[in-house]
Amino acid sequence: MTETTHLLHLSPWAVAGVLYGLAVLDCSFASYRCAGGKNAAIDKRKYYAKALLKGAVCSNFAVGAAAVLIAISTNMQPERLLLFAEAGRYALDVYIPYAAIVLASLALRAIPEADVRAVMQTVVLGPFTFIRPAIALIGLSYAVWNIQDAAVMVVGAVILFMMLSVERLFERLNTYPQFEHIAN
Amino acid sequence: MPSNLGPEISDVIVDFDAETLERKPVERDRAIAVFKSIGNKRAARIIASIAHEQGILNAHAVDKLLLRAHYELQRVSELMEHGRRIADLLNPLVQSVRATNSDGRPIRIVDIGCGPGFVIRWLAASQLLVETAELVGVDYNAAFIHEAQRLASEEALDCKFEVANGFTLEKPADIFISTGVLHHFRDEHLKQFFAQHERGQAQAFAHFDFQPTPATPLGSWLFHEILMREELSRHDGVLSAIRAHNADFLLDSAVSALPEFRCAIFGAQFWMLPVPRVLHCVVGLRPELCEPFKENLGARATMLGRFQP
Repeated sequence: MTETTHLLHLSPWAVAGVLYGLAVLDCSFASYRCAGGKNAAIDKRKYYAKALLKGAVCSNFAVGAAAVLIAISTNMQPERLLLFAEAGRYALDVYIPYAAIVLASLALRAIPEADVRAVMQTVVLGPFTFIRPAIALIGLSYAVWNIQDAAVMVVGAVILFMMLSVERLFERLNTYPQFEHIAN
Repeated sequence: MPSNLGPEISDVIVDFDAETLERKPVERDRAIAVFKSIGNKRAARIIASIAHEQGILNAHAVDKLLLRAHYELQRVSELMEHGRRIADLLNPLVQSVRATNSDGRPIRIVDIGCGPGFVIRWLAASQLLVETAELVGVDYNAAFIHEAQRLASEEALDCKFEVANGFTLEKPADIFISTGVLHHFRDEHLKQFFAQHERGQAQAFAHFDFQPTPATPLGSWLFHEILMREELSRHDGVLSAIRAHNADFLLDSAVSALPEFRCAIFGAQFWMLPVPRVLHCVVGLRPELCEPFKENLGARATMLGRFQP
């Protein structure tokens, strides 16, 4: 394999750690978005905290499923672990800038000026939420394309499916007390 | 997007007697025909999916659908921090009205077309109003008012909600506010809406609505695709942003209907930049309140357009 320049030079375990962190964040935000618009109370801090926590917990099931697949694959061919790590580095080349922009715009919400927060919401968070499925697809395609390995492709496809369906899954699983009396 | 900008679905699937506020039955086929006649198949399909009995739309199903849409709308208001914006504008208004009102009673603020009462409940919960104010939300739709009362009671908020015409309340308003209501009044109906502010003792009003710009169609579509689940929310949300009145029309309508008030547009742009805000606001005050209001606005006075006439 030729030496490739990545955004971050990470060891295999660090790649796994960063990907895990991003998965937890992504799942938490998906759960948060899913909880939005279903509770008309004014003070929703506990409600949203629970939604974030629920997302974080659920992310572990998804990460666990991916880890099992990788473990099975590397058990058959141990040298594949390095391929998975390299695939992770390629995926991070796409996901890290995306995550950095989203997290920076969230950090800017701490600015005590409603206009700035609203602009961040409209110009950054909104469009970036909209393109999230495309980013998920691009990141994994970029990794799979560069690694050219069947096992990486299968695991990548499973992870992509989980990333794209997590929000729909929350939509189906979540029930919110205030929503029930007006639900279909 | 429909080729001919017709009404919103929510304008067609509910009907009230303007005098008695009694709910009138809505014929499903007639409601569908309104949209089919202008080539809006999507709206027709949404209405066709609502439960009905013997050709009449089921009022309970309609209310549930509208409440779900309003819950989603509240989420947008929260993201845009609309409650805080209203408080920022109301405080100088209330202070100005208070200065000319020596009887010491609380200033009565009435939110017209309040839906499930987000703005009034937010103001009550935040306690950001510096003066004592009586917060009241009114709407023709009893389902909205019941929901607003239920939500306010759950959080023990000091505010009231009534099924009523805000302009004919037994205890009249000092200040009227509204959000996203103005664009529902078309042509002469907008002037008639403004003209009603002369009734009673109203001293001021602040009506927020979408500001149409070249970026509105794409921006509102994107925003609604991300944040809304209900087809009705997406359809009506985008349509309401597109067919909203521009500042000149709002101001002309208010000025011509209300000769006893001075009116201006507030908050049309971000800071002093030529960047339009999603919502702008038409503000009206009795002439003697204009100068105190400007002073009370402080640094925000730069967000206020020129008073007319």
